[in-house]
Amino acid sequence: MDIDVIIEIPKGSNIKYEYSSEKNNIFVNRIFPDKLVFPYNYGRIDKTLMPDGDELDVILINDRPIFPTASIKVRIIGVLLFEDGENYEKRVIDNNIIAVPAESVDSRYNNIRDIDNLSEKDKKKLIDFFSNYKKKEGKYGKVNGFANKEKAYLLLNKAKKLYKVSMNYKKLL
Amino acid sequence: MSKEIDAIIEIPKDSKVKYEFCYNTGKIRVDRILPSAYNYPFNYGYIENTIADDGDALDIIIINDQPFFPMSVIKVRPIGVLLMRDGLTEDNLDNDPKIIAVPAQSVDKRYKYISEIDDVPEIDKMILKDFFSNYKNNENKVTFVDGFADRNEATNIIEKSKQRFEAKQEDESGIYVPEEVNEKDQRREKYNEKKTKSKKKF
Repeated sequence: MDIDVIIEIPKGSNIKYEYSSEKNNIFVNRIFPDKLVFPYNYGRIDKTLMPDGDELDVILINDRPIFPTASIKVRIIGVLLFEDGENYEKRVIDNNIIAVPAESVDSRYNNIRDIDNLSEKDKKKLIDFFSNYKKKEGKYGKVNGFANKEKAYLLLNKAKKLYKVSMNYKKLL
Repeated sequence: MSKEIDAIIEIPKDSKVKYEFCYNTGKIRVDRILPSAYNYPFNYGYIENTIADDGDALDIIIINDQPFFPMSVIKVRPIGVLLMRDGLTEDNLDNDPKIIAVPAQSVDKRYKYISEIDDVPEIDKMILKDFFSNYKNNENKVTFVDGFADRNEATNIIEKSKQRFEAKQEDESGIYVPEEVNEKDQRREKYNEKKTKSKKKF
């Protein structure tokens, strides 16, 4: 099953853009210290909600940068198990979906169907980036490993449900 | 000198990512990464409020040396047309002409000397012909470039496409939406009708 992802940060950028679907606008949230850049395109799935109040984040594994606010069809392959926060005591779970471009968009990634197909090099790159980028800002962040495609779909469904619940709650108010 | 018009950029120069504007959401979408060995040689986009022969907005190629961000609007001066046909097989090709333009003088004075298609350097024309004949390679699609047409033909095509847009707008007295979207809307309406009917029963 292919789903749509909205790109926020192009691969190789050290600017953390954040997209607001309400305002249909892109904001510069912050700029990372030198030499620390996003190893892959990074975005989010519309109409989802995570316990930390944001939409569900997606790491898109591919070889070229994609412009912020563009949407792209992707195939979900797994989860990066991650937790972060202001400090160790205030940490929350912030799992990220890992995906590759859908077959109709780029057939280069056809053989990557599950997290096991992802090369060790790519995994190391992800662990390296995600365990460091919060630390460099004096915050807490830790990678707890990876999970497979099925876990990713569970996470997606939960985030979709939470979004629906929150919308219904808003209606009541 | 021909009239200056606004072009909306979809694909930056030198990109292999085929971005497309989506009327449905008002956002850009990554349609595909070109599976051929080619990158877009120039900025590529469309002219707003037009409908071309294929039902989409009229395409435009902007000859200049700087890549522009998708969704940016730029004032350009049309100078000619690239006569192209495309389709799934060689016997079944549809016209898909692309307007060729240069940045307006107020934007970039570098292109002041180009006012006709004949003023475009021969190498740039060869690059355009090469790209648009081959960029759909490895996709089971066929494209064919018939050559170039002059500034007057460009003005004609733009006028025709604008008229088509206006006619369509008067027909529907609303914003032009592609047929696919209409179908979806109809399906949704039917679904909603069914829903309300089934509710009434209880």
